[in-house]
Formats: sequence, structure tokens, C-alpha cells
Amino acid sequence: MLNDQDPRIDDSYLVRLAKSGDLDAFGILYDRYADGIYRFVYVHLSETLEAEDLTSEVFLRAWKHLPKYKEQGHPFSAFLFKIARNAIIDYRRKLKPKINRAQELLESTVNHSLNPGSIIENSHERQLLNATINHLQEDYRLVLVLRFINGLSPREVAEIMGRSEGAIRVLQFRALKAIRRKWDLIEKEDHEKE
Amino acid sequence: MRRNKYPLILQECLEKHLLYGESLEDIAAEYPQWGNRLSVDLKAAIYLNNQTNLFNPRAGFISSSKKYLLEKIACGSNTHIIENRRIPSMRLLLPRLLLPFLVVVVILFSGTGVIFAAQSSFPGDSLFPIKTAVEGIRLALTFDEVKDAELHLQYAQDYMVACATLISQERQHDAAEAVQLYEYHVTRTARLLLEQSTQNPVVFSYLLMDFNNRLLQDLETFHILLPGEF
Repeated sequence: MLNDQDPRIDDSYLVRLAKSGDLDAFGILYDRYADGIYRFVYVHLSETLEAEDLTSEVFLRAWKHLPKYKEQGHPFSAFLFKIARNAIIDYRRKLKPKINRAQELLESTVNHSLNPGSIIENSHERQLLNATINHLQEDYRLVLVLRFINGLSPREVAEIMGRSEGAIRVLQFRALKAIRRKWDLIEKEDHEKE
Repeated sequence: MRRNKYPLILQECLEKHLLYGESLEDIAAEYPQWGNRLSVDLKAAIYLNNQTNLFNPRAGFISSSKKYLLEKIACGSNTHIIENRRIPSMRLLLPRLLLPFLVVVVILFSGTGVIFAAQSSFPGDSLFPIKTAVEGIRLALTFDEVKDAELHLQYAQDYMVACATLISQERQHDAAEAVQLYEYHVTRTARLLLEQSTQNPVVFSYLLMDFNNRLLQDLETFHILLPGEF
């Protein structure tokens, strides 16, 4: 029986076992990365249910594509986050044509002011942060979520985004600047309202 | 030149804080030439880094979704290992059979009293896992989507009541879990309604009205509960 707490069990070993069909090994990889993938997806979609479904979808795709995954210095986390990124793109593409009158009606019913989650301060902060991040351009959003919300290293982020580490450093600095500007703007608007 | 060097400096400073725990003051003192600019960027990055828990999944999602995922893989539709496609192993079938079995055992040995008592339990109570298990079974056994939506809506209302009670008992953490479950059931209802909008527009309009009324009632309750928030 595999023990997740055993430090000798690294990702490469688990991936090798999973490739040979070991579901326990894949389950440990799920335990290690599901939280991170969920956070990544959630920040992009802002919907709990969709984020849950898509997290499972990412791991299903990972299992399917596992035979194609060759480690060779590419971390497993990068492989998963790349799949997650594509899954989000596919999800948004599928979603677009579905926006119809019925959906507009529903959205007007379940709008933010009716959202009971906002009674808890954390939920309110999460919604606000989500809205700010989602107003940033795609590569800024990716770099902030991967680096800070998910705590990945610049090397892992570079791998996922298909850029050099130097480019990630520059993006990171620009993205921080952009989000600071958004926050300043929100603060200014709040002051004006008061 | 000075401008091009900044992203590298920022990265170094982030590592000093995030990996080695150096304080912001110490870091700022090491790079006086970058002044306030470095300080505000670091603060923004650290703020984001501290918000990780805001985006965590709801309690129980990882374990339940993992079970479901592994079962799905073992059942074959998504496996890359051909020999695993045919028969799901007992190791994976057992947990699936275990929950209904446990519920039956609990009913047999303690009577329906436990199940009944569990219905009025709240997040954080010892009987609460039985309540969620029973909810899961009821939902799994409902094959009509309209009834499914009604059931989700009923559960959402139950969690709203639970939330009110927990707040009055100053159990904020448990109340937050109740709100999460409320949100979950409301969202699930909204999704089922959306599906009905194309399949059955008449039923959809009726359900939408009911849904809307109930949400407005909930809003009033929250208004009484937390007058400053709305």
C-alpha cells in the first residue's frame, strides 16, 4: 500500500506507477494537486460548481494523456496546469453559444447582491479579488494566479506558459503593477461613493 | 538599464520573503535605491499569496471527487490501461457499496431515530455526516431533473436556516460551511433550471418564479440576521 506521507515517494515514481495502471498512485497525485488545480480553475471561472466539474475533468484528461507525458525535466505540476489551462479555454468556447435569454434571466436572479456568500467577509473578499483578477489580461492573470495563489516557482510557471523564466519575471512585475492600479481605482471609487 | 533590472530584483526579494521568511523591512533596507516602488509591489504579491485559502475547495470536495474520479477511471470509459476497462476492482467497488451499506447498518442497529435526529443536525455536529450522506442518497435516487431541482432548493433552504441558527450560536466557522452548502445547492438548482429552460419552457418559468421568490425570502432572512450587510 502506498503511503503519501513517505517522502521517498516523489511525483516521478507515482507517475511511473500510474502509467502502468496503478490507481492508488494516481489517487496520491490527485491528493497532491487537486487543491491547486481547483484554485486555478476557480479564479478563472468564479463558479464553485463549474470549478469542481472542471477539476475532475482536468484529472480525467491527465489520466488519458499520461502515456504521452515524458518527464525529462518537465514537472508533473506543469503538465497538469497546462491541461487545466486548455480545459478552461475549451469550457469558455463551449459556453459562449449557450448565452441566451434564459441564462440572462437566471443571471439577473442569481446576481451578486443576492449572493448569500457575501455575508461572510471571506466570500466578499474572494468575490472582489476574483473580479479584479478577472479584469486583467490573460497572461497577467495566469502569472498572478500560478505564482501567488498557487505558489508555483517561476520555473514551473515558465513551463506552463511556454515562456522563459526571464519573461515570467517581467510579466510578474507588470501584472503586480496592473493589479495595484485596479485596487487603487476601486479604492478611489469607494471613496467617491462615501 | 535600471528599469530592466527591476523585475530581477523583485523576483529576488520575493524569494527572500516567500522562501526564506525575511521581513519586508529588512528586504527594503537592502535595496534602498528602489524605495517605495519595491515595497508596494512586494506587499501586493504577499497579499495575493496570503489569499490562497479564499480559493480553496469546499470541505469534502477533494475526497468525494477523488472517489468518483477513480471509480470512473476504473469503470473504463476513461482509462488508458485496457485490462482495467472491463471489471472495476473490488478495491474501488467496495467504497461505493460501503456508504449505502453503512446507512442500512445504522438504520438496523439504531432504528430510524438516528437518521431522524441527523436531519436536524448542522455543520459541525457529530450527526451531520449522516445528514449529508442521506441527502446524497436521496439526490442519487431522484431521476427526474425537476424533482432534483426542487430537492436542491429544499436543501438550500435547510442550510439557510442552519446558517441563521449557527450565527445565533456564534459558531461562525460552521455557519460559513452552511453558507457554502447553501451556495452549492442554489447553484445546482440554477443549473438544473437552465437545462429546463430549453427542454421544458413552461416548467422552467414556473420553477424560476418559485426560485426567485425563495431567494427573495432568503435575502429578507439574511437582512434580519445581519442588518448592516444589505
